[in-house]
Amino acid sequence: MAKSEEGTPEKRPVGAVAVIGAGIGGMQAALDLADGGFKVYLADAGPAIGGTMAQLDKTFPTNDCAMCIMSPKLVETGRHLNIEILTMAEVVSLGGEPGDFTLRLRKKPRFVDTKTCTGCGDCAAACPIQRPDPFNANLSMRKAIYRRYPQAIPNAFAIEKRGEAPCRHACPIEQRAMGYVALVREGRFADAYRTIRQDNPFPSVCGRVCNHRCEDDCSRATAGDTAVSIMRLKRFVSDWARSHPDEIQPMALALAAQGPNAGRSPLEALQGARVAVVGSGPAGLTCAADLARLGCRVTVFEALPVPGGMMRVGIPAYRLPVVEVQSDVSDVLSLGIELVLNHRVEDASELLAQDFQAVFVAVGAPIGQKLRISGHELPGVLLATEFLRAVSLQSAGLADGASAGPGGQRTPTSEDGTGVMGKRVLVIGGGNVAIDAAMTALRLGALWVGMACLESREKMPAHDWEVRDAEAEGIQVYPARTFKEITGSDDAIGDPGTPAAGGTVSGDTNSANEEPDGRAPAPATGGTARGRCWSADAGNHVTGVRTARIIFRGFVGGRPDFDEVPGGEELIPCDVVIFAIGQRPDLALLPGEAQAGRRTIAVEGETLATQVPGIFAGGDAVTGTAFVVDAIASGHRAARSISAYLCQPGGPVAVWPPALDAGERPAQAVLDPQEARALLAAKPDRRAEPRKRPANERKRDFGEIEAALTEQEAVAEAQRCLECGICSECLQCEFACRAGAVRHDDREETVDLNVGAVILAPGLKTVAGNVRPEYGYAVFPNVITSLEFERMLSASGPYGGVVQRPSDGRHPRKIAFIQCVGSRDLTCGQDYCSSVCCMYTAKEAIMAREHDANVEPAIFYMDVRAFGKGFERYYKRAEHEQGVRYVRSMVSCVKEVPGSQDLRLLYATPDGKSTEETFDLVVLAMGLRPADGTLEMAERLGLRLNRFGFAESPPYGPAETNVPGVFVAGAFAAPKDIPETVIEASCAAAKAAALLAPARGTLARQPVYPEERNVSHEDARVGVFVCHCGINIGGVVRVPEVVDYVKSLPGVVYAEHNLYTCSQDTQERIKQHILEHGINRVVVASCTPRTHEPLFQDTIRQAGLNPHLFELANIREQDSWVHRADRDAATSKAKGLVAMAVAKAARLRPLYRRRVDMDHRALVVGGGPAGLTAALSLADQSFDVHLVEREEVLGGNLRHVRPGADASPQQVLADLIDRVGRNPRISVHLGARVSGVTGYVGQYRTTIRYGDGQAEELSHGAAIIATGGRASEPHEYLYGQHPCVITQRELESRLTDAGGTSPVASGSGDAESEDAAAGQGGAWVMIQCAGSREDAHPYCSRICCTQAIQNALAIKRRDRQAQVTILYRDIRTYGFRELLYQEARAAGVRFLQYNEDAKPAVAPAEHGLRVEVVAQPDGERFTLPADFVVLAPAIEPNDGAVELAQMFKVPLSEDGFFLEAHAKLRPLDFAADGVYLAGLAHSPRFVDETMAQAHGAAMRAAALLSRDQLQSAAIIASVNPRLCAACGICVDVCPYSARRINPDEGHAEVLEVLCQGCGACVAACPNGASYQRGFEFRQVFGMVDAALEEAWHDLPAGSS
Amino acid sequence: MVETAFEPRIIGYLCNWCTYTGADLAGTSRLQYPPNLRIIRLMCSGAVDVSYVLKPLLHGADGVLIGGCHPGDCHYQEGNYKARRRAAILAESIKVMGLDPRRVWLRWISASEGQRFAETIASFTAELKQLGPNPTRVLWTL
Repeated sequence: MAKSEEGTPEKRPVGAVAVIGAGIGGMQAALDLADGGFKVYLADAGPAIGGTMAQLDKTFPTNDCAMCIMSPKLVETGRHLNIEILTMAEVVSLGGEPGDFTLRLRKKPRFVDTKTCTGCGDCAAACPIQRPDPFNANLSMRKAIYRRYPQAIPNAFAIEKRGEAPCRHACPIEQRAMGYVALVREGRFADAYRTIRQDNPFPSVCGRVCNHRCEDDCSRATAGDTAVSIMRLKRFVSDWARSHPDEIQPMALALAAQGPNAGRSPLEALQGARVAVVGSGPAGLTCAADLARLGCRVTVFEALPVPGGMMRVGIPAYRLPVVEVQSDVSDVLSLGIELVLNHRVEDASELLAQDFQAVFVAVGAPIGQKLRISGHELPGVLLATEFLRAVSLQSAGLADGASAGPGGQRTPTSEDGTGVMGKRVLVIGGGNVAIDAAMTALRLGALWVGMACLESREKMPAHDWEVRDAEAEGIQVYPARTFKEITGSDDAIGDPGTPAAGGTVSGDTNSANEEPDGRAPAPATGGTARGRCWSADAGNHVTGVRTARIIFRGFVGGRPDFDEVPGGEELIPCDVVIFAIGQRPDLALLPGEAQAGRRTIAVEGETLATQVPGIFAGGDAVTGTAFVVDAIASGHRAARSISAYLCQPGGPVAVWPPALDAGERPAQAVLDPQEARALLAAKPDRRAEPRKRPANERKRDFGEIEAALTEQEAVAEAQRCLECGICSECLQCEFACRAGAVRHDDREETVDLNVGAVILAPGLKTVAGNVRPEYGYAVFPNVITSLEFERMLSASGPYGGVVQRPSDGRHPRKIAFIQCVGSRDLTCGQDYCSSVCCMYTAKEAIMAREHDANVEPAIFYMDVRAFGKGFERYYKRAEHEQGVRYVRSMVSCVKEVPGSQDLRLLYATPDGKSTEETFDLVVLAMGLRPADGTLEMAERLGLRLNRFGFAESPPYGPAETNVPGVFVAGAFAAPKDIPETVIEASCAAAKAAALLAPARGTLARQPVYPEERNVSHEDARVGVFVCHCGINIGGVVRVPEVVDYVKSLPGVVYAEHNLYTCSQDTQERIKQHILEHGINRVVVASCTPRTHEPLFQDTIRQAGLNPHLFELANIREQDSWVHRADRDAATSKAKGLVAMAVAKAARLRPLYRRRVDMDHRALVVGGGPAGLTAALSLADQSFDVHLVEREEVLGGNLRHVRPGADASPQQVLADLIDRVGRNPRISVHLGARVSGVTGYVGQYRTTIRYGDGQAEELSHGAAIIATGGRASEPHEYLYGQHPCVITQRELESRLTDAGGTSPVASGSGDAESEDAAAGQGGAWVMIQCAGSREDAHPYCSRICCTQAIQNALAIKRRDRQAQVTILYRDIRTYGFRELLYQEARAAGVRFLQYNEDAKPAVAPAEHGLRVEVVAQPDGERFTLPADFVVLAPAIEPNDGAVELAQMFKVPLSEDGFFLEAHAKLRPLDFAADGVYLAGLAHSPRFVDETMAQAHGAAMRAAALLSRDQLQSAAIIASVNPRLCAACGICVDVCPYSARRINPDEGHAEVLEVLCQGCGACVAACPNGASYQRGFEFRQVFGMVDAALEEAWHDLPAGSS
Repeated sequence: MVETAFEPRIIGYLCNWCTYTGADLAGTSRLQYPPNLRIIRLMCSGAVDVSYVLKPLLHGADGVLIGGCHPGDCHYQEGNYKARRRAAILAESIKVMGLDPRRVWLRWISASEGQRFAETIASFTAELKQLGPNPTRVLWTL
């Protein structure tokens, strides 16, 4: 029992409970507790509640549609004021003590805000990522943004991510590479362009010259293959965008409108703030673009005559055509950025002094450097930066001698202003700029071009492919050199090799002592950069460079570290030397303190703020030369810092918005190697290699070297992506979501809950399909698991309810079901029985036949375990009426028939021969295991698990665990079906409620509303709100037209349309309009009332209206979504539906609920274990209880239970009776029978009569029927005729009372005779089903198999020589009881199976008895001598049930047991509220199961009793007495006994608290005296009239 | 007046728990069916009064659909059985009134049978098109 009663806690416990796992068990526990006055946190690891049951098609044994019966529970849970649902949550730790725990949960990011999401699904339509859908057992695909199933609660989407894709993780600007790759794969190039532009304003540039770190980290590459060609895909997309301006236009507008932080409200302080950006390179323009999109007014100052910085003047056109730079730049400028060209900013501080509030300095590092070696000042010694700049500006016609061709291409034959034509050019340096200079020189007509550098060929800083490209063009590379001097001469050019006399200047050649050659790339206006860099006419000129071979080890402290190779000196003859050994910024525009030495600007690392407040700096000016993408990253960072600074000038510069930064990036996605291998095998493997123009051709001009991918190549390349991040973060969902619910920056959260108790109901999963490899799962496509088949059967499943073979879609005719796959199987460590598979297979076989009458199902099984209520009948029906073939044989292997993909099963026939049979489809009945993550959870909680990973409960302590205050329910305790789960959930709730009883009601909330307005005297004034639902309705239905139409309808005083009528701000609007326009009826035209009616009803109630003055017109699910192709018809229908709703609304009357005071006492009928436990449970929950027992002693059946001579049931009983006796809340009435019941729920009056005829009336609010059952008397096998034929219970008594091993022992209790009896080898034959599963009791008595085995083991323990034979039909040791069965077999207990039509025969023998049996399956005859024959009789309900059922007006089943309200979801209730049931009165069951039921029934009653008042439903029937003829028809049709003829008044009346509002009595009333509130005749007729008055959508003839 | 093609007008009484939910599922699944139905939600098919069927048929509706839970699935235990009995009697009695009983359909459609719902509306619409306009509609137009 719960620990609660061990002393009174000193402080009041916390009135809240955490329920972990929100399947059917978790929901039931949550609802029970929340109804019982506790606050409940319901946490689930997944994105929605519903658990496994949501996946089921039908449920046994009633074939109810699982979703149909569960969905009201889902909705109720979702709406409950005192249930808070936490999705994506897992348990981290539990601290504190029972009654006052702190439960820490980790909430994984969902990436969608459940409160804002409207569940419309636009996001999923936009998502490019397909994933196998686990809800459909991976038989179909869903998107990366998904809802678990259509009816999911919360009705919100979630995004599946594995982490940040490595390509994005590696990128300095976090470019969503996987995103645009996925969109390219889908052919959605415009969307891809938008995704790229979201992070990167320079897609054309980065599509060509990026160093694409993304590709280095690509999962394909790390898995041993080649990376996806990400950069080239970017180029493809940008090229495509360039050639499809019309399609890109809307994107550009959206980008401009949206700002870089979509979904966030614009910051006021930024609107119109003026920011200056110095430098129009990638850093400057990126920053300008971000700030402009945030609302700033940005001015960019550029010293050169062209914008673009190094992108424009540093990178040669053959790599990056000028036109590409120009178009990216103009896209950026089109955001409204002011550009000032030819303007050198001399002092950044001055800008601040003008009206700029912040300045971003991004001047780059345009100043080249030379080695200060001898000859470096000779004419003909050039700087690469200046050289390239001059070429670039010339080509644009901005310098002397320019003759730019189209697209910035030049031909080397044209007059060349740089003077390299016909010369020998040596470039010093080994990086990308050196290559650029060398290849440019070649294209300008140089006679010969070489490159020399410190590094070895392998270690050159330039990309290897670049060096190879250069070499291919004939450029000679001199790696591993140091440079001694540049030799010069006055001689004529063309005579290399002769060092010029006097031209040598010795220098410190061992150092990289660079010296800037002066200031600045002078702007065009200054004139110094115009024209030639150098003129050959200057006289003194270069003749060569003297080098020496070295072994270079790298730079140490900025200096090169190398050894010269002896004798390695070499003079490289040349006419021109171009230095490409590094660049630095021009720092003059900043004060000295802002500079970091002489090389770069000093900034604060994260924020890029300089020492001067308001001045920020970034790009190459801060980092030194880097790649374009680094500069862009710097620009983004600067924009964030500057916006933060502008919001709070003078304050600390924080990074804004914080979620985008601050080191909280999500972890990088890492593919499991096995998954990576599978993906690699499944996807195209050839990387699209670039097509380059031949070296000989390309080196003649500046035309682009590399060709773009074709569309086909691009799509194929994109298909190579392994989608390792799952969600590609392409942001299409965010763009599509008009409600703004998508949150890609969502982060994991930790939540601490203060709760008094914890209930664990994490549920189950099925065993992996390939647990038995010989069945070929995952090898043969037509071998599927039971869960897959379940989804196949489901009307909303992957095949729409059509049973078909996965391999070819053909309808299978012969279906084989193989039982016990991953159950009862030692070989895979699953030696327990999974309890439910026999029944779900029977159901699946029946349903398969129902779907297709031609199906021939065959079930291969060991034992059919149909042990639950109604199961045996179901099984028999399957076998005898539904054409299901049962084959008692285990299949040894499944092979595929070559060609047909049919399956050949090998199994043994009854005669022991093996046979083969071919089937179309094989369904494996998978065993059950605890859900994923339960092991870890148990570890964190210190929970004891059994060896299979299920939570262990103490004997007779159902739902308890080894951790006090932590309870368990459902399949985590043992594999079980839905009703048992529901029972146990209520049981766990009862135990938690008992523990926390003093805190009941302390944390539960009650809604608070203003006083209700009386509108009864007013004419109808209807307000109508029509919803666009983003584009879900508005995209099909012309909503404004509907609103105009509605305004013309009678009674409508106000109408408007809303983007989302369910949004919080619209609720406020509705309230406001109700007051403003005197609205007294409200119509919302939007989605289904099933989910949204309560929300709007609550809103109008808050505005003072009765919540029932509301009507919803469903123009989404039932209009716009189902008539998408026909806007006219959909609009017309919407008008009709709204008119119907208005017509009804105008006729609505306020509805009120009848209240009845609650009598908090309970009556428990029956003093057996069920009654005792229920009474104690209620008393523990602080309710007073009358316990009525008809016998003179308490204990019922339990008094005789001693399984296997185990005394513990008797101890449990003694304990129960003792505690009941001591409990002051329980009044025990012994020797009393219920003789009459009056009243109704909340107010019962029950008369009990004692044996002496005395009567007593008891008042109570609820009743629990626990009248128990009994063993039937066997009428066969010589029972009662021969003293040695006994029942199992009689055997137990003998075993307990005496040694019992000897047939003659009859209770002497003499230890000596017991010893003497031992070893005598007595013979015991047990006959099972001696009464059960036959005509008299056509059901399974559930406990007998286990009982017999326990007793057999007890005999074997006492006498190993004893011969015990159990004759059985099916051994039904379900769950962990299976282990006893295995133990018995190991102990030598013999099991022989017999068939019902060949029952064993018992005859007296000389000594004892003789039993003849035909053993199945092979039909062998045995004659067994027996000292004792032990029978297992049926369990039947106690007599008196019929009378009691009549008094409480509750039904009985055909077997005489009490019949619960619903076999699956209401196993402890009756249809009418207020009466509950438990124990053998319900069905045969074990003691611990009975106790669980009793606790559960107590909880169900307590949830009711804890209320102070009962409320009737609002939608109920009423009677107009004037019309009533008191005919009584309504009384007969009411299924809830809510009708009676009032004898005083002489007319029918409705017992309002009992009425459930079905309306049956109304339709049955011949006089029209009855009416259903909320569905009155005039309301329904009003709708009919409105529907028929509508113009409908009659179309001109021939047009439809 | 432009001559128009005949488009049947159907009034549908759907039970709250099964068929109305099935109609919602058809929407959630974006199944397309003809726009000829106007749905009136009731709590149970057992609450469909005889007059609910007769009134539309006498006022020009071309068909009436009653949608309920499958036998055994009724939220109110047996309301759908009541509906079934009532519909059987109704079919007989409307013949007397000169109405075609094929204009009244009773169908069991569960909450998970969106497809079945869409197909039902499509086939009912098709059948009513074949039957032609309800004579009462013509009478009223005259």
